[in-house]
Amino acid sequence: MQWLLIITLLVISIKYLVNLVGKDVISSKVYQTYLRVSGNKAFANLHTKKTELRDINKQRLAISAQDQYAKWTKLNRRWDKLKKEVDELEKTLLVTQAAAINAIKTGLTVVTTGPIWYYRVMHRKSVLVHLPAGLFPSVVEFYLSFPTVARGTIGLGGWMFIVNTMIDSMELIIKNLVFAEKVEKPKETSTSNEEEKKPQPASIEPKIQEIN
Amino acid sequence: MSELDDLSLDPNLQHIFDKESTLKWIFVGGKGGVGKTTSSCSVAIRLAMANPDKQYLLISTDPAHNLSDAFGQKFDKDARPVEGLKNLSCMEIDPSAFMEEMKSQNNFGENDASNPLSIMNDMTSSIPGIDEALSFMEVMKHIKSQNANDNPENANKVDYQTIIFDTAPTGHTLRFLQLPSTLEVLLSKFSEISGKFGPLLNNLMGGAGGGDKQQDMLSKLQDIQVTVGEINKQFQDPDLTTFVCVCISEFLSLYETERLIQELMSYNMDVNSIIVNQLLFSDEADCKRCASRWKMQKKYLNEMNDLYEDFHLIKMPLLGNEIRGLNNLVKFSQFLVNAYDPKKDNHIIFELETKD
Repeated sequence: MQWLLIITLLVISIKYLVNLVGKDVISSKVYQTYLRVSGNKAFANLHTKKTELRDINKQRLAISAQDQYAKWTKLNRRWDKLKKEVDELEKTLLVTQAAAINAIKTGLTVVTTGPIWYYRVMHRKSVLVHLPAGLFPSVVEFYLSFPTVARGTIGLGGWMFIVNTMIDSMELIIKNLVFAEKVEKPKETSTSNEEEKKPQPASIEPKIQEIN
Repeated sequence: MSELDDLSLDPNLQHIFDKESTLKWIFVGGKGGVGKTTSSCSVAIRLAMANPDKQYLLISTDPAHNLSDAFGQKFDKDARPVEGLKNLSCMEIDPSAFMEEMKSQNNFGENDASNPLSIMNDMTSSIPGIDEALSFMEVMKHIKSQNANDNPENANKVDYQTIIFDTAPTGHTLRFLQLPSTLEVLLSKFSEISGKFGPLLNNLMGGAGGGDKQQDMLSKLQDIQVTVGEINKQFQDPDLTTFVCVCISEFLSLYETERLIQELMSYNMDVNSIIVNQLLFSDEADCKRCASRWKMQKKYLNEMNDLYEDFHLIKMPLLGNEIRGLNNLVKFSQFLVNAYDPKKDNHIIFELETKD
């Protein structure tokens, strides 16, 4: 049953990664890659136009509107015309895009949860790991084997619990070691003897002016 | 170089003043302070002078009474001829006065609960877009009267050859020009709906009286729909309608003019003339400031020559005084017909008549 161990580990890791990155991000990236690769004409057209838009904008920002008013205005006109075309194209593509992204999201959900449920049903009673006798206290053995396999072994439920806990702990460690915000070291205060007198602060008595 | 000169359009508005011109609607517009009213008055005056046997009407909806100030004569919502130029009449539509009249006519009454129309009292006092709507109603009136002139009973009604609009300085002008198409869509949808639910509405209104009012309203709306459709058609016909842009030779004004032109083109309205006002023409000036400003204006004028190759670019001088009164306007407006020559015409700068 080693393959079941590995597959479960993989699926749960993938599920975790998908959650981390976000289904929306993944599905839109996948869709865009697909469009680029499949040579969809409308998308290629849109891509060219958008590149041209960015180009024109760059040129526009590079010149002074007041010194080269005619050139700037002509660039403006081109930009407005292109923007209209881009908006139209995007509208038409949006419909197909929404449908495709939904399909990809559904696919992702199925891939990350389907196998687990399948194995849960089909391999309810499969034993994945045989624990050496007496390795853990009997309470631990009970919970590891809960609910479907014999005590002293680890089944699917227990293995998934182990994998999930491991991933969560690793996430915690990595987050706190690598991604935590740096905290400034506090300045050292003088840990002087109690007997040593602190220097008197400057006199803060108000200077009373003589009123004539 | 003469070939290239022939390709560019004449720097005057002669094509508007020609006897062959079929224009019925001329809009004069631009951002505030560029000389719209002076320009619209000048255009109207030259039109009237070029065709003394025809009648012309100049309409302004700017509540600041700028036409009265320009001509030095009181105008109001009834068209009145200009003193000294009988075939040009002016009309100043004041939205607030109109609303007062509406209120008194329709007896919206006191704010009492029994009269449901009394809420109109509060609403009508400040409806945004009321100036556009009023100008539009004037336009509709004139379109209707044009059709009605076939009827011999209306022979004594004044039939204007062309109507010139001095537009509001804000972006409202564009909204007004959008009105015909918006209204057409609205009205067609409304008649669609009323066609489907008319009988039902009749029942709800209850009784024979309600039914009649319903029919009345429907037929009125259909009338309006026809008129609005006609207006739409006329405003998009370059032989009937044109827009004259007014600007000054400075960056922001030009930028606004460009935006205005692009938007007008999106409404399919013909725009082929730009009046550039307040030009200094100070090539040989003693005043350093004038020379410097003229240099800046020339820079933008050159850019405009490049940008607006298929436009009439009319260059008008900055005179020594405000241009008020018919005589001064006549003097100023000659440069709409014959381009201003700084060498020959510069005497006019200080020749304006003043009241003192």
